[in-house]
Amino acid sequence: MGVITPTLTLTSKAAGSSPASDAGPLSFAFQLSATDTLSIDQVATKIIDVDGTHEVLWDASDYITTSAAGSKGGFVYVKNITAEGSGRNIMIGTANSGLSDEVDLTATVDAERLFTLQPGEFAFFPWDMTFDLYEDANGSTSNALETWLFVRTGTN
Amino acid sequence: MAKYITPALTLTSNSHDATTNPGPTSSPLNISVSDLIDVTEVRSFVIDVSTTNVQLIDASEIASSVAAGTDGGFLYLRNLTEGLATTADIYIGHGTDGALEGTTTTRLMTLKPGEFSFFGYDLEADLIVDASASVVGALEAMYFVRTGTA
Repeated sequence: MGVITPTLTLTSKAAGSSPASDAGPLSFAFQLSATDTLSIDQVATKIIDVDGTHEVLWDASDYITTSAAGSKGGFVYVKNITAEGSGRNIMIGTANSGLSDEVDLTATVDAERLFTLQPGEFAFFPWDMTFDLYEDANGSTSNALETWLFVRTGTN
Repeated sequence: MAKYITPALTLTSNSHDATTNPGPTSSPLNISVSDLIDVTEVRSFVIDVSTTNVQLIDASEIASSVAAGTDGGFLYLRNLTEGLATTADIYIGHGTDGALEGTTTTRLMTLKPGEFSFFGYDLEADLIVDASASVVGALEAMYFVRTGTA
């Protein structure tokens, strides 16, 4: 068991700031900061290749047999580490099938894709392990996605 | 015209043998990342929660299409009940309305008091919120809509 400390800041300059490339979306400069301490008893990390076929990123059954809100689960960090400008988008979803259909933008739309990470983008979020996490991409790149899983103390 | 926000995240921990706040690994961790995201709209709200699930974000109000990497945005959520007389675990779901506390694949995450998250949201389904207790002003949400979302 141990403690990790995540800290998030969100900042933007006021709209109309000079140079225009630095301008923010609000009329005033914005700064938000959040930090917390999380009790963790297991850490897993990997950097994976991606391609146009969806694959399991984190398998819930590796950690739990039954879910329990607030007491079982973990925190996931994911970052698209492909080169800026590469155009390699990486999708994170809950699907055990069909995620690639949505990535390919067929008419089928449902709740399977959670989000898309463009090159350089990241996310940090709790995962209650009520489903497996899947990844998919709009093409093939080696060493494309970095991910860490911090398992809540008491999960297993 | 492009409008930018800068999210930055650090994840730190001490080594497992530290006398104060020991970490989960034998070596200290220090992950640091930041990015620049082009956004066209910011939606911000603080809401009350209860044990009855309600819609947090109606995807159809923001976008009529869901092109991966084009439509969507990033969502910041924080459970504000830490230190209050009544605290609550807050459950976030993705899909149709329904109770989230039980075993359900609709539930994405649980935010305990003080916990936060920052993640992409492609607007493929609505977001649902539910909680373990009724608390006023319990959940802060800020949604940053990607420029290009239609």
